[in-house]
Amino acid sequence: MKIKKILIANRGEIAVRVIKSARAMGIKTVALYADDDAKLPHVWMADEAHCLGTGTLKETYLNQAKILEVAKSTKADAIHPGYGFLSENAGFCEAVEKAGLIFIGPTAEAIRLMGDKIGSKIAVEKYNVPMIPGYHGSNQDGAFLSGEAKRIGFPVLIKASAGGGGKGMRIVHAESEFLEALASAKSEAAKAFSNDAVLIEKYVTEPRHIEVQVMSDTHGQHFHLFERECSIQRRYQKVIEETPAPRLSAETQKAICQTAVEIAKGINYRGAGTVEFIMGADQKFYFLEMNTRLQVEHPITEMVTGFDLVGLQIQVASGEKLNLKQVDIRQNGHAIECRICAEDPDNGFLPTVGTIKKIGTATLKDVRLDCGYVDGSVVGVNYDPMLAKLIAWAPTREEAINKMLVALDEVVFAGLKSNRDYLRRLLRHSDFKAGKTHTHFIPDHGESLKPLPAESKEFAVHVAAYLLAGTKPAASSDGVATTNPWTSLSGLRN
Amino acid sequence: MKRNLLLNQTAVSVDVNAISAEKVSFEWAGSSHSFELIQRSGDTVVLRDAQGVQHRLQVTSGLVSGCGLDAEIADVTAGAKKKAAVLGGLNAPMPGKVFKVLVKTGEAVIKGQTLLVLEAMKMEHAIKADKDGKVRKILFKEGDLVQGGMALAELE
Repeated sequence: MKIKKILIANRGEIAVRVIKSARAMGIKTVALYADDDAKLPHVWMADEAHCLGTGTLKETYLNQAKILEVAKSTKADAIHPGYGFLSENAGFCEAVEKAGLIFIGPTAEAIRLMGDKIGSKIAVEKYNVPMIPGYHGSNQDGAFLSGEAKRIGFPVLIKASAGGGGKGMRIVHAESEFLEALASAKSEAAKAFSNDAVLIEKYVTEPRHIEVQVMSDTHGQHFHLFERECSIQRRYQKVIEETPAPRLSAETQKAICQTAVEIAKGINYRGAGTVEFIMGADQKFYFLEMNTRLQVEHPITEMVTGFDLVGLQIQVASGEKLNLKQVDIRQNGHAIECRICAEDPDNGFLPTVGTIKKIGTATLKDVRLDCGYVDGSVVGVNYDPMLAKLIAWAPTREEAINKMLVALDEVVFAGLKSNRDYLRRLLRHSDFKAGKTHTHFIPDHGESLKPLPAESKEFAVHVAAYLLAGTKPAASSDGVATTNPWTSLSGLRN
Repeated sequence: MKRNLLLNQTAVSVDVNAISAEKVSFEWAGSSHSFELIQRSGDTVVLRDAQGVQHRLQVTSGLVSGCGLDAEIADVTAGAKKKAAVLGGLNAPMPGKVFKVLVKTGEAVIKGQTLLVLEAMKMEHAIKADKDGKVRKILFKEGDLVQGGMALAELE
């Protein structure tokens, strides 16, 4: 069925992203917004916009009944869930389809299967997928699990089976610490997911997070669009992603991409998905999980393959057969994404709030800013701290890093503290430049990622620019340092 | 002329020798510097140093970005000083919601004990006692919204 109007059940940058692809395809869009988001670009960029009122997320962006009501009244024929929110909610997918609408995403069955950390592992094991040694069964007895940990060999990782975002996760180095770690992981899991079931796995040292983008249509075709390396993380969340993954042999790349396709084929997947793997220093990789949605970091894949992933999602949802061959999907050059977040990396990555006074503009070719805010937008505490994604493409990794450094200089987010300076420190780090990426990069390089002291000669030119800008002391009281309560607090720290 | 500045939230001072609309020379980090403003276009400025090297920066609302670094710069004002003076002790490190209050007024606590838990943007943050003592006052209850920097509790 040809889709004519898409309702976007999301906000911010991903809503804007979907609007752009829909518009390019001649499809109308309906935006949704909570009261506090009324002035964001996704609202005025869409062809129609409807207010979800005020209140908690449950009453707004997670309010399935209200969202379906708007979809019906606006005569939308499809719903795009974006990422987060309802994107991996099997019940929502079913409700959308029951209402006679198209869900732009996988089947409810696939969401349910892959949403369960234990179930998904059991399901993919039969497709010859390398699995990390571990225990994924239902026996949750402490003594039994302790025995399993011993069998697997320490260090082991305890993980909430319904989890994500690092909640209910513990690394245990010795048998003597096991029971205590198990109890605290279980209590955290129970609170976060109303389910205290855990699984135990071999803990891979210097692990890398490598994932593969897959795309399946409803005519039995399953493709991969190569890998992404997402090892630079803080609080178990990605900060910098890139493709191709550095230091990956052609053989390993082929094997990991093929494995992802086998999984998509095996579960008869539909639409865009991402198979995540953990890879050790020996380039051995193990299945981690499958994300049944569009990923935040999908733009880097678009930059190296030339495809519009949201466009492909819409084509698949319309029932089209993708006119593609695997051999025609090529990985060209190198792309890097930096997540610009409202947070203070030099103080535990705690979130910051404020009004964005000015967003800078990137001037180099092949640099893309995916952003859901404009000058004057207010960043509050109710939503994710990600402000924007900055993406740079170049023929080589080294050039892509250089281009990103220039782009980060240019794309300021003035008015509130962000991690832009920190991102530049990461990109300039000798180990990052050498491609020595692993998921402990940030904690392991804590010292060498610290900011320059204020009184460093490198800041002379900044001081000069400030003095020459002729900012009067009176005007500066409107500046960053005094209006943002968080920066005033930081002042005290020093 | 001495200018007292806050640079990335740190108080610094700079000795300005001469300043005009196009040129500035000053003492900074133990050496003399002079720069010439050669271009200004919107928020972008280009400065040329004494060696002839040109530096491109964005100057926006107190944020100077360029040469791979961010510098948030502001003059130290009486207001900023006063604001800094009221802070200290058990403050909210971020804006958010009081998720849990774990102690009562009058309760004895030890250094490192969690007093309250804040929640913002899907993250929890424990507010811990900075010393042994007794809870004099808890200034908020569960569910209250707080600004970053606000005092949350007092110990004696």
